[in-house]
Amino acid sequence: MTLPSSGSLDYNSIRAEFGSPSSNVYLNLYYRGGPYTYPVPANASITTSSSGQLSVSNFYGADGTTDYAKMIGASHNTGGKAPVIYNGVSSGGVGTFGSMPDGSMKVGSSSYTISAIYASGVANMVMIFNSGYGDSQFRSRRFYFYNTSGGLAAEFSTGHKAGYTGTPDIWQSPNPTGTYSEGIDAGLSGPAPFGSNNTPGQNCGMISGSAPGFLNATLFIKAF
Amino acid sequence: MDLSEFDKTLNIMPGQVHYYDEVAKEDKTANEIELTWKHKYLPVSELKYYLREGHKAWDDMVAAREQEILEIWMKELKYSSVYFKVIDKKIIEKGKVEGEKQIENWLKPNASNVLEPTEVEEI
Repeated sequence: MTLPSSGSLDYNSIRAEFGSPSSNVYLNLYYRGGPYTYPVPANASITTSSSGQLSVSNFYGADGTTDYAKMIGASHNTGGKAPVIYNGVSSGGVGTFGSMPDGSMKVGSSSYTISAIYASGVANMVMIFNSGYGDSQFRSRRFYFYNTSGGLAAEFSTGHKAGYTGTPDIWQSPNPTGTYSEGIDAGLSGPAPFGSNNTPGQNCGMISGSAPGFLNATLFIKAF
Repeated sequence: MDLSEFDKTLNIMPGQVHYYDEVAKEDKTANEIELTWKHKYLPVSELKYYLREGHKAWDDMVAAREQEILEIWMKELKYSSVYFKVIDKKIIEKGKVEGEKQIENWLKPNASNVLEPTEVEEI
């Protein structure tokens, strides 16, 4: 929440929180789903139409774009003899597809930049951040994916062993280069082998929605 | 073309704006800042941005607006966005080879002076 949920709220406060290129405060600049106001639950009171009616009271408790990432997912076929189909956003590595118009987002109370998110099947989602190794904010963290209508397209949870440091460090999730891998997280947080000291807890995986299909869309990501 | 010679001025707007401080978990007030970009000699528009002082995404949001302004100026100077883009405050022709290094990289993307050869480990 970046605007007060009650009490004094004026046009200038809305402009100062969401940012504006104009000295005139045009409320219709801030319709839900527009460039300044994402279609997330915190903004549910704001109309989705640029010609719809807006009032200051619609903005109580509303969020700017700061804490959410926006991705435009696409589908990508690697081709060749053993083609793999990826959905999501990538700017290298497994291919270049989709885009991330707004990568800055909050994970728990930490701020990160996400540059890629993709999956080729169930239980192998990859998210690439600018850092995150050893940050406990990634532990059992829910990621909510909202579609352009504001509906919850999918919900994903990291495991209870994510966000740790360890040896080897590349087998941690996120690893030192900021790559979160569901496959590695599943190995770390999954069912404990007989006789191991791995404590039970939240395993990683989809809470709702089905991977990787949901990633082939424009989505707004919340992780706090 | 270099667009970097502009003045960026900050002006405190009259009156205070209201926001919710997520750390202190209380409503607070702050100054609203008007930022103005004015180029020193090119015939382009003077453009503005409004944001709260101390906004947690201040740097990102101002940088995004500055890039947007440079792209507006590029179009005002009759450069087509189909063929040109703004990188590091300069108008660059898309796909233009600027130096020998780009050609070398294109011919040998993994040359030994770029990517160190790695020793094969014993399994």
